[in-house]
Amino acid sequence: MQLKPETKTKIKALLERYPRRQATLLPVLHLVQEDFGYLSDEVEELVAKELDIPRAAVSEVVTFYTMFYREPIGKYHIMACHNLSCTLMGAEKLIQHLEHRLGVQSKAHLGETTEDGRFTLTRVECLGACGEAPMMQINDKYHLNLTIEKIDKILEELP
Amino acid sequence: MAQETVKITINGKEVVAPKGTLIIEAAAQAGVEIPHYCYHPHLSRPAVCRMCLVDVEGQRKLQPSCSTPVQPGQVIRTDSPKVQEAVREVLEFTLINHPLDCPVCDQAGECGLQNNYQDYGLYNTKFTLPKVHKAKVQKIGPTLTLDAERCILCSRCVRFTDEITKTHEMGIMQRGDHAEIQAVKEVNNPYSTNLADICPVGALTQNDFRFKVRVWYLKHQQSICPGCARGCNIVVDHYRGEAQRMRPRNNNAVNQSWMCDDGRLLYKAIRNEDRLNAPMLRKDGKRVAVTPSVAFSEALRLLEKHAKHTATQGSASVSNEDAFALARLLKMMQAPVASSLRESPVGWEDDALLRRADRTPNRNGVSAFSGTEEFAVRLKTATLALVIQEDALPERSLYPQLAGVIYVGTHDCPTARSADVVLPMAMWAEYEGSFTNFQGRVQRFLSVVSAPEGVVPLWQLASRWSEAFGGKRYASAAEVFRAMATEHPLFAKMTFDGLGEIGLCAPSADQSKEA
Repeated sequence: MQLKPETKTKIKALLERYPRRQATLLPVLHLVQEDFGYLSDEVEELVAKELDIPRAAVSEVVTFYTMFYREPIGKYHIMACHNLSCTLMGAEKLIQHLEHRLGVQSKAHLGETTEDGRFTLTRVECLGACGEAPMMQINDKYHLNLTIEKIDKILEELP
Repeated sequence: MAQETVKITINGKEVVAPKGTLIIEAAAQAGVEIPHYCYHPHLSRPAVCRMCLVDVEGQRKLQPSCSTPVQPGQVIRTDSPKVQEAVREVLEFTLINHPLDCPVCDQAGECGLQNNYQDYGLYNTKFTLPKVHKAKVQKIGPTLTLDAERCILCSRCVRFTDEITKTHEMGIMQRGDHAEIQAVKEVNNPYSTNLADICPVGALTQNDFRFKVRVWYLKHQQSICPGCARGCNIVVDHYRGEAQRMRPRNNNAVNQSWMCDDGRLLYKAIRNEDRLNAPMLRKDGKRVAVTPSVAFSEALRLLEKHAKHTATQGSASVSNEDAFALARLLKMMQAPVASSLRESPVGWEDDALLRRADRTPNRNGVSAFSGTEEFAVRLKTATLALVIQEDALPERSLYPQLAGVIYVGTHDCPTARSADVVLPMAMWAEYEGSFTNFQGRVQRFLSVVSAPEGVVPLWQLASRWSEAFGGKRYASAAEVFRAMATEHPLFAKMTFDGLGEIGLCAPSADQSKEA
């Protein structure tokens, strides 16, 4: 396994912007996760080697943040908010619907993935869109003011 | 150049400390103990455990004493209600997910949590929710067992592997309640067991020692590791006359607070199966056990008969007193001085931290009493061979003119098997004496356990033999040392007791070798 040459070039550019090599870890891990989908042990080793920092330092950061994945996830990562505003607006029912429709269990940190590898359903805390609760995020996009019907439509329209 | 000092007040007592001293260190020097977990004098100071908070007059918030240097005129309190409340609450947080499995934890008795809880703890826990469970009994390397639940995340182990060994095995994974220390690879560096020492709780324990004996039964004795020319300062913990564990003792000039894993296991040689426990004589080609006095007299008979024609092989493993007493005996016998010391066993190289390629503890000291001629050369003309500790004469048949061989040593070896007289001698843990390390520092070790019945150190044997040649018999290692100090510049102006806990360097020793 190798890092992509383009990624290596980007890492080189990042290294010049930070005072210490270890400080580039967050942006570098985002880049690398984009390439591989998730950060396996092997990928952590690659990053440590590329940045010339200890492997333990990479693992510490990867396990600290929930948005770094240590196992493969679905093509679409559904992050359903279950914090206060969304719960008051019926988030639990929506999450139950999602669980039923996809046939997976939602969990905090990282939920289950459908067998076809299309969806991962994770419960998350507030994403800062309480004004339009209940809400969910799919990959990089927010979906607001959700209802069961709206969720079905969104999922069906996904490529 | 005089060091700049700062005057401060700790708990109403005036204290003078060198500029730049941390409050926690200044307090310790003044006899005020401040509880702490993450602070360690030889590691960086992240101030994460928050146990060492103190009240500094004029500062609104409590200050971590492990990372706050003293300032002129500072007024510090470590015993105010504010501090005690803070420490109690920090401890309460620290213990929220601690399993409280002290009855089955091997750290019990030397645990920072137990000790501090006695002094500062809150005896009615307010916490009733289920605890977060983590991985227990993980063998993370040949020397260590990790119980992540007991860990209080002081990060000493992480800093040790980052800063001292630079092997980077440990890390703090996950976050919040779920944060736990983990090894990302096998912890197999030569200094790994130090992690068990610096772990303030029962998270990291030493495989060799865990569950062997409860620590409150242990007795402790100051000693010196005989594993290499460094001479790490150690404490030997013993129980019922058996050494149980060796651990490092602080000496900034020699080993800081560390020692290597190989050194720690050397106590095992004391009760090794090859250990010589009783004197033996060769009769009709066979070795027979005899009483110490019979063996002693037989050896003396040989020494008197061959006197001048004795070839002697000394050892870099014996104490300064041993080497001095032996040299004096040879002088009185009018025999040549002991021949050159044998090379150290190979296998190690000098490393950046402690270990030295020379795996003998006292080459620097003993060589002062040895000649330069090789033993093998001497043997060609000698009629008696006196071999100390070394396996220097495994093939006696090569020297047909040899009428006798005396072996004085701690363990059996081919030389001992071909000797006419075998006299066991005491090992470093069984008598008191001094070693001179590679820096020229003379360090004292004390007797930890008793030697097998009738077994005495070499200096006693040599001084008793020398009586027959008109010499004086020494009564103690200190007396030998006194004689040695008057005769030899390496020990000039030193006394045995004056060596204290951290030893002394002779003024003539090469100061550039100071670590």
